[in-house]
Amino acid sequence: MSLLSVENLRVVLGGRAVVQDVSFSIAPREVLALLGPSGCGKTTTLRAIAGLQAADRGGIMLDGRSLRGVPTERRGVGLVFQDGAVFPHLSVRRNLAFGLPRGISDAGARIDELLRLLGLLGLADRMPHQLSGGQRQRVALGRALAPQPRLLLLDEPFASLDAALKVGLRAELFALLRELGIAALLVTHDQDEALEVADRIGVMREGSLEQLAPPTQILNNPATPFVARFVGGAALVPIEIRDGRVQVGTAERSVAADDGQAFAVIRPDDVGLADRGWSGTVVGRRVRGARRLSRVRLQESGIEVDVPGDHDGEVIVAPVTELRVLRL
Amino acid sequence: MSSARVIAGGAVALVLAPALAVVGRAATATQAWSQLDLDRIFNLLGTTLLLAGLAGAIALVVGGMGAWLLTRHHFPGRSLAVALLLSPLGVPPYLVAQYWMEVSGPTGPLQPWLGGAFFGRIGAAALVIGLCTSPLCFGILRAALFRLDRAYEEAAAALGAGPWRRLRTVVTPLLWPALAAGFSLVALYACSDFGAVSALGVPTFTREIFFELELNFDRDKATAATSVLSCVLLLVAAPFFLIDRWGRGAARFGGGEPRPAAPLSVAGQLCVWTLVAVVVAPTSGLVLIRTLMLMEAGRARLWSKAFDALGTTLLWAATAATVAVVMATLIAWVARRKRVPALVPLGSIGFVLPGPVVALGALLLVTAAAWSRAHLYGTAAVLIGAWVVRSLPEALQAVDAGLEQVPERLEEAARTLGRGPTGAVRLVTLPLLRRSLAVGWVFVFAAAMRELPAAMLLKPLGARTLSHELWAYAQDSHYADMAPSALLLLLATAPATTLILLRAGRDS
Repeated sequence: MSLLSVENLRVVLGGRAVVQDVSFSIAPREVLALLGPSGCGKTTTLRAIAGLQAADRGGIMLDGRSLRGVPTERRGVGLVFQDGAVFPHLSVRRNLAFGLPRGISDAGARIDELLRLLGLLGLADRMPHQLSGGQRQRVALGRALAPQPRLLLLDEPFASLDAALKVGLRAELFALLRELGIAALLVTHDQDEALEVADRIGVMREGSLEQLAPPTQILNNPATPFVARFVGGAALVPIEIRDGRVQVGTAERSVAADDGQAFAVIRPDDVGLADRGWSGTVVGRRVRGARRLSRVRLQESGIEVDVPGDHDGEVIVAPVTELRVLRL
Repeated sequence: MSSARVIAGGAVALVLAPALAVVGRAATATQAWSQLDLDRIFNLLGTTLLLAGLAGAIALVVGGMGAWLLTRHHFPGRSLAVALLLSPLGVPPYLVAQYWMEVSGPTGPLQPWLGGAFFGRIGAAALVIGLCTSPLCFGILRAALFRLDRAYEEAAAALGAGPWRRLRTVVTPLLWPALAAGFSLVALYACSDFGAVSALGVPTFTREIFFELELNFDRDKATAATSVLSCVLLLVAAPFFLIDRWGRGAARFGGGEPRPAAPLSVAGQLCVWTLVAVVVAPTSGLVLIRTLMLMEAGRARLWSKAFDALGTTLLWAATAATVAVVMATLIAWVARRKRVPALVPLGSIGFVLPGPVVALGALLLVTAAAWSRAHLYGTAAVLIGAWVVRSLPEALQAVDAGLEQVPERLEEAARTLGRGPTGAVRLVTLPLLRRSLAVGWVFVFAAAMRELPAAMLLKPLGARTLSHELWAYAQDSHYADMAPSALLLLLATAPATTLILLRAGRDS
């Protein structure tokens, strides 16, 4: 049974449907990422689940119980904000203790345990302004975890951290969540983040869920051109499938798809220089991470694709892996 | 959660009630309108506007020069100069006016001027009000200059513009909203001032409304006539209020790297200290020194009366401050969190209501029903209510500015951690607002301590506030007897003054 299920959620803000007909569910211990550009409605969806934003339509169920009319404080979900929202007037220890039910006997021990898990030992009596950005975000995470919620909502929790810190804290947090058996809904615009930590990814665009699937499937079988372009930065080359075969410039490939017009989903790792294939012209070069990529404009379609390596002038490009096909 | 909206709306309605009562009374006073003496109205209008314009100009010149010299330059004793330029805020203008009369005496050097021609008196009143409120202009312009990106001036300098051309073509146009705001704020003060104009005998709307109410034994006729006058006054003051609001909102050209202040030449320093002398000597300096000089003449009887009045005033002012801060917190919170921004300007109506007008509104409300006539009329509650209406803008400003610094996220975080809406406010918002609440409280307290016209019109029979004590001595020309009450008043409002100085010190 699913821990959280969202059905046909619709949120209207200022006369505009910011979230429309979004449905998904999260299983216990699952990590689901909502991925999309800013303004796509992913944060609003998360706020509706937390009860901070009223839904105009649709149901939200937690543990089989409807959350309609249940105020935020009785929903029992943890929430971590982008900026942490660590209470500036309370020490680290008192921030962590804020959400603990009054009068529980082992509060001190639980906080000590959290301080240890989050690497905050020795900082318990510091005030938030005496902490670094990364430490503050750890406090925000610990504060949300302290009441032991079954579901943790994360609203771009690493966005304000620098790259190195981000990767480390991310890995630690999700390892911890799996250890504690806490399910999470992560809202992010960072595809690497979503691909790395999520069991499933929901790609959102303009208030709607475009595709909801495990990361490999999002990469390999994007449901829409938007998903293909947004995740992995794919180029879409128009192709025509006839009898299970596709003409790739001067070469021919077989595909497991029905006949008709379609797109080939091309990412940098999918293509290389070949003797036969699409002919094109190198129009630019760039460095991405430790790799060099050349941007090639294909003559036939005018589409630009990235090809690994440093190239120049006229080239011939062909798929080096099995052709991924997107049907419309 | 709409209950918070209802309560805040009710609080704002209470604050608006006196103004509405006055307007309502004027609307039904057909006879008063038909008997309106237009010559008198035009005379009052001319005097009021002339006074407002002169006072505004004086404050703008003095405050503007101070702000320019002190934000853009450094020199030994700069903090002291800032403190001194702000010090007139610590003394009520009526006390300054009364000391001017005291110093000039029946045969003193200022007598021909103060006792004589109309233009002499109006000039004196404009000087008293302009100098006493110049710190407001100084503060607004200083803040605007701090925020003004220095890159504009540097760009102009790089294009070959000298200091005067930069001031004229870059700084002044960019500061235009702040200049308009400062002028309007002082003009508003001049329109609603009662004590200084009365001590110096300048007939403005506010003064006429007061005396009509105080002296006319035909209550009904008096309320009708003063309601009509009040409506005219509100029309005069409203534009100043609107310009002030607009100017402070518009004067934002923030950003830019902070630049080091330039050293000030000896001639410039001479300018600063001359300016300080011009501002301080006739206002706070005069009041402080003269009070201490007159102290020797203080007799035991005067002291015991002054202490009686102090006790009464402290209690009432503290009550008013507490009520105002509670209301301001509620209104500002609902305005921000429940997205009803109109509540804050509506709650600031007291800004345009001079003391006598608030008192008139309160009288109209209290005498409207038999129950309130029997149980409220003539009690301190009415006066405290009038003070709350009058001073709520200061409390709102402090609390709202504080609330702006408390992100809604923090309350939301508290909610996700299991606290209800009130718990979130109590455990997170209020502790973070503590400082702003204290500032608002101290400001309202000081304003209530020194308030004069409403206190005289609404106080319970036989009770006296410190301001009333001072007024009575001045009326009888027993200026020397003012010293004990003046000293106690200055001491009681000193925390507010100190706070203003400390905040200014922190900024620079």
